[in-house]
Amino acid sequence: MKKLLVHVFLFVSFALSAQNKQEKISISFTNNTKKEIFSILEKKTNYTFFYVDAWLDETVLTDIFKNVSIAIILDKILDNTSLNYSIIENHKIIITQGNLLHKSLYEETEMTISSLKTATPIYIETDSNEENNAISIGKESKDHQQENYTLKGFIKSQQNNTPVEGVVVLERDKNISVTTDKNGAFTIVLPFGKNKIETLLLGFKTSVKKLIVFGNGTLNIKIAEEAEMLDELIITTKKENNIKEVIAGITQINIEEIKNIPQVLGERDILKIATTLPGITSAGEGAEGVNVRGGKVDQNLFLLDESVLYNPAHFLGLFSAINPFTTSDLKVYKGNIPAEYGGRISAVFDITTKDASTTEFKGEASIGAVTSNISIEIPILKEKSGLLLAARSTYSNWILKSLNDKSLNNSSASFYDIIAKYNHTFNEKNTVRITGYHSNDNFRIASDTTNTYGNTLASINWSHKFNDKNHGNVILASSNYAFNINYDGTGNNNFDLKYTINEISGKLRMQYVHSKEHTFTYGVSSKLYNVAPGTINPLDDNSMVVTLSVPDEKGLESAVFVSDIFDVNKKLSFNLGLRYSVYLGLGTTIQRFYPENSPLTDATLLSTQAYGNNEIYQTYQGLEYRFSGRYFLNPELSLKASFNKSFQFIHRLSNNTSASPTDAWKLSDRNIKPQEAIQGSLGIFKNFNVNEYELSLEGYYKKYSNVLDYKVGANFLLNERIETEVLQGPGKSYGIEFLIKKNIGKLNGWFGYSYSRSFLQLDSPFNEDRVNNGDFFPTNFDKPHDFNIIANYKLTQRFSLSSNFTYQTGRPITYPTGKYNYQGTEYVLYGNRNQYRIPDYYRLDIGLNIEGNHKIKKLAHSFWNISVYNVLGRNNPFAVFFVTENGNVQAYQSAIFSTPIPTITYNFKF
Amino acid sequence: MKLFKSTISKFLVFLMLFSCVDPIEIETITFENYLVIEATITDELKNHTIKLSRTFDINAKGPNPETGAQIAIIDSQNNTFYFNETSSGTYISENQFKAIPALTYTLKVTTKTGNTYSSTSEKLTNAVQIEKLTTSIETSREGATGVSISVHSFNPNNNANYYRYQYEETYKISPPFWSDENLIVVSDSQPFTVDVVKRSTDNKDCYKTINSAQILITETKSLAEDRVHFPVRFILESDFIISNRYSLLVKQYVQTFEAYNYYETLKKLSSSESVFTQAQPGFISGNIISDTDKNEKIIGFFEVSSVSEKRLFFNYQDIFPKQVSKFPAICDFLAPLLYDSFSDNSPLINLIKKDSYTYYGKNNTGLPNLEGPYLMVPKICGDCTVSGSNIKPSFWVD
Repeated sequence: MKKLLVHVFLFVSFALSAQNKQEKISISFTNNTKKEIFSILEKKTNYTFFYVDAWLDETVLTDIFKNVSIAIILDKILDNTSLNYSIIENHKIIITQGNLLHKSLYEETEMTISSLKTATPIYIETDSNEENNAISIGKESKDHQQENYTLKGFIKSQQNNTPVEGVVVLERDKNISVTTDKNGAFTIVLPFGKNKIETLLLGFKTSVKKLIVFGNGTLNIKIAEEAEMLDELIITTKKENNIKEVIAGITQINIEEIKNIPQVLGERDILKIATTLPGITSAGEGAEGVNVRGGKVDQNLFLLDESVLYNPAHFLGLFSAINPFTTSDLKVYKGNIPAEYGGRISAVFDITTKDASTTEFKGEASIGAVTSNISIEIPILKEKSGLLLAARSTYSNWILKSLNDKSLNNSSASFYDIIAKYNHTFNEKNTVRITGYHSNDNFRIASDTTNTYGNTLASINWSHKFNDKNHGNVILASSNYAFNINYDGTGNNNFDLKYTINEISGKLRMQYVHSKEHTFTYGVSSKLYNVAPGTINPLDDNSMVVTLSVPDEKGLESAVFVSDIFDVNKKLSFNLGLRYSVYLGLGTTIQRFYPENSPLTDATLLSTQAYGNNEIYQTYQGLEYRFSGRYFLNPELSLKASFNKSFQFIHRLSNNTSASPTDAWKLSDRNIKPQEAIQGSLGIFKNFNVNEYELSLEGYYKKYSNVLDYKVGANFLLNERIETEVLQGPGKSYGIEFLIKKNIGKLNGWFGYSYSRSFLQLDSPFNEDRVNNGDFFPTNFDKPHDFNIIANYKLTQRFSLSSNFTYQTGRPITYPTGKYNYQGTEYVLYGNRNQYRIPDYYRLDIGLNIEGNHKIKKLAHSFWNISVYNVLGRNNPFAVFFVTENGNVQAYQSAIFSTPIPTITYNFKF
Repeated sequence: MKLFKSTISKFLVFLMLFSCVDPIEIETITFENYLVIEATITDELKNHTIKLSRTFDINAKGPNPETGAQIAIIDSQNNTFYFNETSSGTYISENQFKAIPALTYTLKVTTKTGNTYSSTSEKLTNAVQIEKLTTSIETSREGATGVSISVHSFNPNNNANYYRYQYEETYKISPPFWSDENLIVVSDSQPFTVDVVKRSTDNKDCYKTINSAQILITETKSLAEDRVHFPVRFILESDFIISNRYSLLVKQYVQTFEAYNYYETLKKLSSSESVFTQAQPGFISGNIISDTDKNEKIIGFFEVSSVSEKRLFFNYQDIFPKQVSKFPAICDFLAPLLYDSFSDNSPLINLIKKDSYTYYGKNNTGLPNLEGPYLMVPKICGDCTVSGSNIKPSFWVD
């Protein structure tokens, strides 16, 4: 936004200075054609026009001008035409079709162009797509001939007439090149005589000009944007966000950014990219979810168009459940979560789906080794509404099935996801967006157990503008996550186990622009949870398993929120948010009471109490604050700080060292308290070289209460007394994050490093509730050093190379401290939790993107992506584990991808 | 296309089967020395056994018995049953006794260093008899055929619910080329003489007994009835141990929920379920604590279990009537010359002295490569004591 303002400012000031130099004209036209107008002007002033009759249409104009410059008159007359004009030698006006010889309003240097044949009227064809006749630059001087001359000019976009930054102006044969600045200006030194310059920028058509340089001169070029941006490498157009954004610790990923980043299994994965940014890590390949700033996996709120996505991963975390074709962008709030969001204490991942085109039918598809993906955009009502449909699936299953290998008969893996989004703009004030999403996973890995899981989401978002100062959104959303465990072995205990969590939420969010200083966001939200923690059914007639259902849980989480973006002055700005959250545990339920100062076990259970339907059995409430501020030390350097508190009323019950899709979610109740976190952060942000480079350094400290962990050997499925298996305790995490990004140029990408720690404490007077003697110990995802480089290099128009390097400290594990014999068999003795680490993780990926040809008229735009994951073939251990085999202990390490994995994907758009 | 498909499928197989699980060496980082107590008393009237040992270094070989300790079990009527160490780390009760349903029992251990340990007081679990053992032919997950032996039990009172099993398998070994005669050396110098005599030891049929070495537990809490149908043992059809006659003794221990939980956790931590999910390992608290140091960890669970046992016999032909069992060793005959004039030596006597072959019979095959007077077979093919004990167990029924 600021950038835009700057441009407007420049535009105006130069326009003024340009006008000042010129004489003022007062003139009126009544139903005159352009040709007539030109001749009137020629008569009344001393300007001479040069043009081709055929270019001028017969439309007539009526207008009155008083005391204005010639430029204003011409702008008006030529508005909405393909014609342009240039004023040379003060009084010669050249009308051009196409867009080249445009005299920019903010141009300071006078343009000097003369034809080789000076006798004939000058008109120069400047279609930007074609190689054209030579343009001569400067006046031929007979007395003096320099070796080199300077050519200056501006490059603007043909579509919206805005200056284009970062265009490379290249004299290929002579190896001379310059890049335009943020005003689109360039200055290139060219040798006398024939030259050929090209303008190169991704997303724009290349324009080639033949020049004959006689002297110093000016050349303005308009370049056309490519009809479709195929290989966008522009990392973000909101470049100043880095330093300007008031909310500390926000990361935005545009889907366009990640197109060229090397892929695993041919999937472009927005969440994987997120983990290359400092502060966001994953426990390892094949581990579900991400850890943000030392928080647990369940502390992240994944929102897909405002609906909660409980499991954002397919196939145990190897693929993301978010379709890259339909995703517009992902915002990650890892520092200060805006007050309108709540219910999770680490981060919010706000994923927005694209709006479908309302004007043309479009589509995109990819065919990869393991998955395929297709998305289409269908305009329903022209310029009003559109429908986006997409589906993604893997075909691994039929390949597995078609094999004759018996050992694979018991293995299967498949997943799919579908998404539909309808957007309808009723009028300027009302827009409705409706999204539906469903995902499904099904896998069985050489065992008798089949796991199935899936998300089902729906949301409707009505956006209404009351007036210039007020607008609001009403959002209704629902989300459902379910998993199923199907055991089919020998014996009489085959079963089918189901788990479901369902939430329905409503939210009213209002925005009020009070003044230049204050913008308020306020509203209410409420969410009803319904959890069916488990039903088990016998699978067949032989099974003796009795149908059992753990009673449903119900809870209502509501909040009111208000926040103010307070711009104190140009330098200082705050985002102050408050949120009051109330959680009500609702019946029907039976709550269990234990005496104080005793461990929670079946043996100590005092009494139980039953509550009726919708009867409130437990209330938790509190004020959450979200404060964030930014101060500009100078226009390119800012300081940001934040301090915030949040609550979480829902817990993911995981009894493994990493999250799994069959982890149940549990609502807070009498015995399981809500989690809390307080975070403070401080950072310094700098942009260099007109936003070409972004730099940030941020530190944070977080304190948690009631983080949920579990006793060794805890079993959560179908357990009615979860509190006897879990432990809650305080946690802390802290770290420093460093990020440098290069946004533009042939070589771009980023480098991130973070040092971070994450600890948990489980202390209790009772032996069985104490872990590591009650001291703080590192969490399962405590990885102090995390280092990432992402680099893209554009080789030519069609080829680009990208690479990704990651290094992380190995995650903590619990290591044996001895062995023992028990009943004739050897077992491992485990020492304190998480005192050792698996070897460090590092990986290099390389990818090559090959564009289809750039013919304008063709059916589909296509590109190939060839990538190699883990080029170094590093055997990165995911886990080290100890198995008792034939009475002896054997240690193993497992890795998911221990060899280089090449993939090739074909993508096309139509 | 075919190549393409096969490449993809190989890739998927790689992905699916996680061939990237590699065995590694265990390194010692630190060593923690704890007491291990194996104590289960039952409702059988007998001299009960308790074993004490200590943890040992991860690279060392166990077991590491704990000697010189005092052990006593005290019931709720203050009867004390003392235990004496009979071999290092093994303690046997002075007198025979059995656990009685109405009482509770507490284990007390005092080590030679004077540390004392006590268990929680435990009650005898409810008694459930094994109904029967059955066999069925099943296919393993890897696709191989074998015999599965299952335990069936039923408790109409529905109050046992948690079961642990131990088995003892005994199989008969009858070498295919046994002879009741033996060849002995009379003179090992010129003139070389040997003699065929009756065997002095009985090595026609032998028996070998092996105990179960894994945790076998099941529960019926989630079932409609307290009815067990538990596959306790699976043996591949090609396994030598069932090639002749086989017997399985199954012992069923009824457990408390806490004891079951202890074993289940131990089992979970000592097996790999999936490469993606790893159970959180850690110390498993049992029901024995130190009387002096609250942070000292003691391994083991003191159980007072009701027990029931049942034995099953079968022959290979009973299960796989259409198949013939194969002897696991290659039994090629040798017939060395008694005297080899070329080397002025007796290859036969040399072979007898090496004791790797045994006598089978007189050589009347007339085959050119069997020139000598007697047929000799590898010892395993003619002498059962190589693979088992020639003492017939008292329970054995042919």
